[in-house]
Amino acid sequence: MVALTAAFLFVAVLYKNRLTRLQRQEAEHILKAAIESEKRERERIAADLHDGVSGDLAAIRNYLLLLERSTFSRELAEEALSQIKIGVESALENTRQISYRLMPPLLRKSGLNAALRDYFERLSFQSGIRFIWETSNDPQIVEDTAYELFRVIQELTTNMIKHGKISECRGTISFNGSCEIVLQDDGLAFDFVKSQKKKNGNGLYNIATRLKAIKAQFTFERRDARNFYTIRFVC
Amino acid sequence: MKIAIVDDHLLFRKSLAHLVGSFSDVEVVFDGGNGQELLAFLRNNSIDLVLLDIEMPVLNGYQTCKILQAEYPDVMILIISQLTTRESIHEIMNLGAQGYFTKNSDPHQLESALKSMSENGFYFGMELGTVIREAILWEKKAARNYSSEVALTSRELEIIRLGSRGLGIVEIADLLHISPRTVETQRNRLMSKTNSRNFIGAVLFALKTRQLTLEKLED
Repeated sequence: MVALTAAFLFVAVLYKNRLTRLQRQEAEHILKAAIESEKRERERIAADLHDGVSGDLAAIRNYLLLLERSTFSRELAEEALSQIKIGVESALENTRQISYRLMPPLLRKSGLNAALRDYFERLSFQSGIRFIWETSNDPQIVEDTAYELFRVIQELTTNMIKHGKISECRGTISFNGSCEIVLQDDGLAFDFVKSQKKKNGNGLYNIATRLKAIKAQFTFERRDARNFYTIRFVC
Repeated sequence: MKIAIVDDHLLFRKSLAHLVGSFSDVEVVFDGGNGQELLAFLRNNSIDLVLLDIEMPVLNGYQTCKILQAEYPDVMILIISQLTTRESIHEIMNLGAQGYFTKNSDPHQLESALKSMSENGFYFGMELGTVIREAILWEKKAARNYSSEVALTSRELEIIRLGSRGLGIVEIADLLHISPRTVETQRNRLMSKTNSRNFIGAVLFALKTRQLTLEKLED
């Protein structure tokens, strides 16, 4: 009997150790993946600065140099001035977009709901697709969680525009006990399982790691010719 | 000199076309947003030099370089990109381009860069000693093969020595009392003999096969 109890205890301890180790590994894995997806976002921003803003400014500098040189016609001068104007506008717009990508200003000041409503308005304007945010009151969400959720929704909507051929997307946040964000679109049937298998450089992988980091659940459903994306989390 | 400009940033490309077009003895005959557009143009037109961006959609600078070398070996390639000078040397050695101009450098220098490309066959926008030292580092990584059976003549070694001091074809011809045309022929022979795609490759060859020392080069 004693021997049996001892054996049982031994197995239990062994099992517990193994469980702790697995949990630690899992946590390390999530952290690594989160760092990796942040890094990828930074790379994208660096590329935007590089290709966008730097290019605009270099173009402006070229035109200024052209105007400095003694011989140029009136037409060329007018052309140069109008191009410089375009360059300045483009540099301003690119800077605004990059700054927004780094941290949407409303997210800190007014919370997730306001930031998302603003984001949806921008998207409608830029893409010509109806993006409608339907919730008006703001739940209290910790800033770190809000930031991850914002990025996830950014990723999802970018995918919709790029691959989904949608004409409309609606979003809501509701909360009773836990919080729930639902996005729905009328686009092509989204092959969730297949997309999830492509691991590297994929937006979906990015989404999964971000959601894991804030312990949120993600479900996908195709219903009435619409895609439903639901994120549930404690708030 | 007939020049093509390939860069996917439209505003920048147009500004460059205007600027380069204002230089003397230069004509911009084409500008496009990727390598494929350039190759389409080259089917029916010829150019002397291309200003080539590296990061581009469809056909990037790296891929374009490879095709140009195989199909249009006479076209000189001046890379225009945003890498730092150190990185750029490694990149150029990888690509086998003849020169590099960073988007961050003063566009005033672009005119002399083009001049150097046409007169010396290369341009790196920095001291050649620095380029060669950096190229030696690159060479260690790339593990290029050097056949020591190829012996360079004393004239060829002289051309390498003078060329790495930044002298142009005409100046070298003057110093060696031969015609510029002979210098050019000799230099082309030097490249094919050493299996190099640019002048720095030939310098590396001479150093690696110990036909020339770094001290002698800087002498």
